This record gives sequence, structure tokens and C-alpha cells, in this order.
Amino acid sequence: MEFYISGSVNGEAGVLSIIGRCGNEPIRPGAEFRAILSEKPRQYPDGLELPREIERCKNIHIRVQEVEVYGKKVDVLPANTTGVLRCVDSSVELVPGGWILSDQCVATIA
Amino acid sequence: MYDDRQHLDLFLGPGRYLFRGTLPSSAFTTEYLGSGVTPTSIDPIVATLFACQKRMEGPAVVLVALKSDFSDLLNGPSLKSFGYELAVNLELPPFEFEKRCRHCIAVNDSLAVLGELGYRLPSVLPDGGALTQALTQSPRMLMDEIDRYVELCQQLAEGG
Repeated sequence: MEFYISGSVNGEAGVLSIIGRCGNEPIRPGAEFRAILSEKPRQYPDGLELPREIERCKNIHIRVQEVEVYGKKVDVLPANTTGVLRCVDSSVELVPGGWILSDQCVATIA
Repeated sequence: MYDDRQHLDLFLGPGRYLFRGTLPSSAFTTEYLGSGVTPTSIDPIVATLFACQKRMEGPAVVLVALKSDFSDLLNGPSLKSFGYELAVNLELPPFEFEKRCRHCIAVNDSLAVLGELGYRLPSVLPDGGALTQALTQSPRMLMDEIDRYVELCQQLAEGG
């Protein structure tokens, strides 16, 4: 499970809103992220055809409380869809755009 | 967080077409889980890049629709930070959108037509990070080029 972060806002009552795009697996309320990753940039256009390399990975904890698509609360954020995750129990105040939330840390390049 | 204007301006603005890069409904192996909204773009480059990611899962296509066929179905809004996708969101599920499209172009044909018009895109995007990077770094087309793109795709479909 992954979520590609575009930006984040820390709002009232400790709710962290994370804006971005869902990866290949749908995300539902209750989902938990345990890691945040950054990729090594690839050259446009041909380098983008190559598999990604993970540059950095940090352990975090974020629980999704609500999912929002096109301004509406929904039961599931379908794969590859843009949306907003309203999160609680977060071990970080904000998450940076360009990084990826994941359910687990992965091996990084040297 | 949301842009309440962009999708409306794009829908009412110049250009006759909407484009969507996806898999044909027949290729999906899992049940549709979406919210009943179909995101499209007014730019075929955006749609083709989505198709370049979708081809990792199956025979990806670019669907071409006429804006005028969807006048009563405009939905939205889009997220501000994804403004570069030039998205128009329609209030109908993707399989209904597919039925109402005018053309269905194989991703390789779309890439070839864009190449003929001077736009070289990656032919495959293996993950979401590559898709995001391609969407933010690729150029957007002029309206007359978009009309030419549709014309050339139509010629391909008719075997000419």
C-alpha cells in the first residue's frame, strides 16, 4: 500500500490532511502507514521507463481516519486516484511533497 | 486545497474533446470501487501518460470523447496541487464514460501520433512516482495540435 504525497496540512484537533495519489492498492479508513520513502529522480523521458530506486526510508506512524475524493467523504480511495487522507495518531506533524507513504520500509540504494 | 474553478473553466473553455488513459472495462479483473466519478483531461498528453502506466496491467488505451456529450454531467472539484493534469471530472462511472466515447486509441498509436506532432513521451511508466514525474515535466498541447491529434488518431482507426 502506497500513497504519493503532493502536500500536507496540519489542521484542528490533531488531524493531518495529506493530499496526493493512491498507489496500486486502494486505501480505506483504518489503514496504517509505517514508513515514508523518497525516490531517486529519473531522467525525463527515457529514464522514467526504468524501475525506481529508493533513496531514503524513514519509519513513521500514521493512521488514516477518513478518505476524501472530489470533496466528498468516501469508503475507499481507489488505486491511482487523487484524494485527501485525513489522518490521526501521527508521529510526524507534516509530510513533505514528493515523498511516498508506505506500509513498510524498503531497502535503499547505497 | 481544492480548485473550485479550474474544471469548470476547462470544460467551458476552448477545445471540443476530453481524453482518458485507462484500461478498457473488459480488462479489469476486480470490481469497480470508485466514487462514480470519471476523471478526464482536456490534454491527450496527460491521458497518454496515464495509459503508459496502465499498460503495466493490460492493453491500455486512450479514450476520446466530445465535451458536448457530457454537458449535464460536470462534477468536481479537482485538487489544486494536481492542476497540471488539466482535469475535468464527470459524474458517471468510468465504464459508462467508455460507452459514450467517440474513439478508443491503443496506447502505442497515441504515442506514435504524439511523436509525429513532435512530442516524445516515455513509452511505459512502471510506477506512480514515474507517472507523477512525467505529468509534471511533460509539455501541454496547443488547441490546434489537439484537433490534429484527434484527426490523426481517427485516420489510424479507419486504417488510413
